Amino acid sequence: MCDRVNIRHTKERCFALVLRASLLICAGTLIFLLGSIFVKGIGAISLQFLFMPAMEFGKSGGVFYQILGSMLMVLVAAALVVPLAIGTSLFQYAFNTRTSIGYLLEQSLYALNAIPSITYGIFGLIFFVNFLNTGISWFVGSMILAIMMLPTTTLSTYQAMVAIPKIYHENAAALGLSKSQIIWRVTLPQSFHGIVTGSLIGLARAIGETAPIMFIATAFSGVSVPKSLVEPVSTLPTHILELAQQSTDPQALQNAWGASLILVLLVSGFSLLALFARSRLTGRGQK
Amino acid sequence: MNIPNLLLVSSNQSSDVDVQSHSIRLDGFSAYYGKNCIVSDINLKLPIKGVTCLVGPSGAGKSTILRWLNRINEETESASFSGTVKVLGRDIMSGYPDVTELRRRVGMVFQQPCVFPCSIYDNILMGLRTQKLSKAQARDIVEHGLKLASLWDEVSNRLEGRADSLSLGQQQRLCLARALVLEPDVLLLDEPTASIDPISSHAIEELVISLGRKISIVMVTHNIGQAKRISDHVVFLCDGKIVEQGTRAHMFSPRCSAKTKTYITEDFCDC
Ligand SMILES: Nc1ncnc2c1ncn2[C@@H]1O[C@H](COP(=O)(O)OP(=O)(O)OP(=O)(O)O)[C@@H](O)[C@H]1O
Ligand SMILES: [Mg+2]
Repeated sequence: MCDRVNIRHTKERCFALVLRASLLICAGTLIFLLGSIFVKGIGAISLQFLFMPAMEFGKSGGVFYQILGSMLMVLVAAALVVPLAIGTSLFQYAFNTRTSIGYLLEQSLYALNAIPSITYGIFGLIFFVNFLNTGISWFVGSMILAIMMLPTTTLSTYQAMVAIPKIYHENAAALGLSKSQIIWRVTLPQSFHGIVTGSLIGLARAIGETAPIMFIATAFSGVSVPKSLVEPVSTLPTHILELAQQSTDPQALQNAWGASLILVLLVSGFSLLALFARSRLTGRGQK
Repeated sequence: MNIPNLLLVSSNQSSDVDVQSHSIRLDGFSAYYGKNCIVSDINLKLPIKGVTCLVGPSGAGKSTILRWLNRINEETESASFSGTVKVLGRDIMSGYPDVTELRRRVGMVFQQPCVFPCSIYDNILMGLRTQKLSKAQARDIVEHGLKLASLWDEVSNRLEGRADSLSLGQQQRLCLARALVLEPDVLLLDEPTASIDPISSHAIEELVISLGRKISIVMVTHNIGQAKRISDHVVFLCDGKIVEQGTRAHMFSPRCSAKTKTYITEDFCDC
């Protein structure tokens, strides 16, 4: 009897130990990574770095147009993707849950989510840049990023819709609301948090991407604010890549760390916003 | 749209109601979930006015019947029915090509209260949003609905507050108010007083009695005393079949069947 209790205690302890160890490894890696970026990058950060254009291939000057380019591309991508994601998930939710087309749509969204980002880049290069002859264009980049964000945002929105208890739907229907009125008054307000979180997570992912936009939307130097849809921009990830290639130069390396820090801060900013939106907006939807 | 006049003047029921003698009529009605027959071959005629109580043990199929009367069970994938159901003289399927019309005329309060995650005010107006209402009209409707459901005194100072912060019993009365402001011709109530304190419960009983003089109310209740107080007509269901139905005077008299008597006195059914 006593033995069994002892064994159970030991087992529980081992289990707790394993959990703690895995937590430590995960958190430790993250903290180490963020810590080293912060320590090495903070030296490069100054007002001048934030608000000056890059000079001498990034060795001096700042990353102003890179920040601008990154933000422009992902925000436009988000603007493209949000209506599409809402439309797709509404279609799926309201008409399609049990049909084979619905099943196919959902599976392809998951599959799309798993495609390596370079594939999107190649697609953009072949289809837009070469076939449609757009040339290097930030807007094409935005479109490609939008396609990349689409599964994340759509699935998040769709899952928020599916998670709405059926009883809300029934109560609205019992008040004589039509299908479309129920969508406006019940489904959309109550899945709003999913739309917001999905978009922000999609943004956070898209802003850090290099591969899909490298060949189709960005130039490494000599760009400022684009004046048309078919001009290149420079972005933080591609700029970091460029600087890393000159890593023998300590000045370039320093700036690479600085740009990385800014990128990390942007990504974390979007992720934190998503977290905040989730807790705030979900809290409003439930008791 | 004026303020709801259910209790103020005679109800504005449309003329086709008046020429009918039954608010609800079931002929050979059976209800299924998947292949399971839950309610089998029921015949029921309910008068155009008055309170009908559905009583019977848990799982008897009371909610299932109620949920077909406004076709809300259509939203449940596995649910189906056979036989004919007529509401206000029209077949619920062929007579109401637009199901929202049926649901507007047949109000329903569900067994579990469910308020929308918005303000109390917006909850009451949820079913009325298609109509153009002035601010003053809307406020009057909200006030009137809440007063009918005897909730006004408790929430009058926080109409903009969130409805889901109300207690369960208050939420149930809010659901009732929400259904009442639509001025239904038939009202379906699924245990509306189950989670309500005795005082509000009494107020709701009073309301049901007075509404019953103008419209048809079908109310499920487990509270035999309540059925005795408010019903005009009682239907005793067990295991998906009607054991006995009749006027209140009949059902609560020594003349009722032995099974009914056992259920009423001992709250037990052996069918
Ligand atoms: N959505 C559903 N799917 C399958 N079976 C169901 C469903 N809803 C109800 N049932 C079954 O139908 C039967 C009757 O249920 P119903 O809710 O009508 O009973 P009730 O008389 O209202 O009981 P209670 O007094 O407990 O509310 C039960 O056996 C129940 O398990
Ligand atoms: Mg029930």
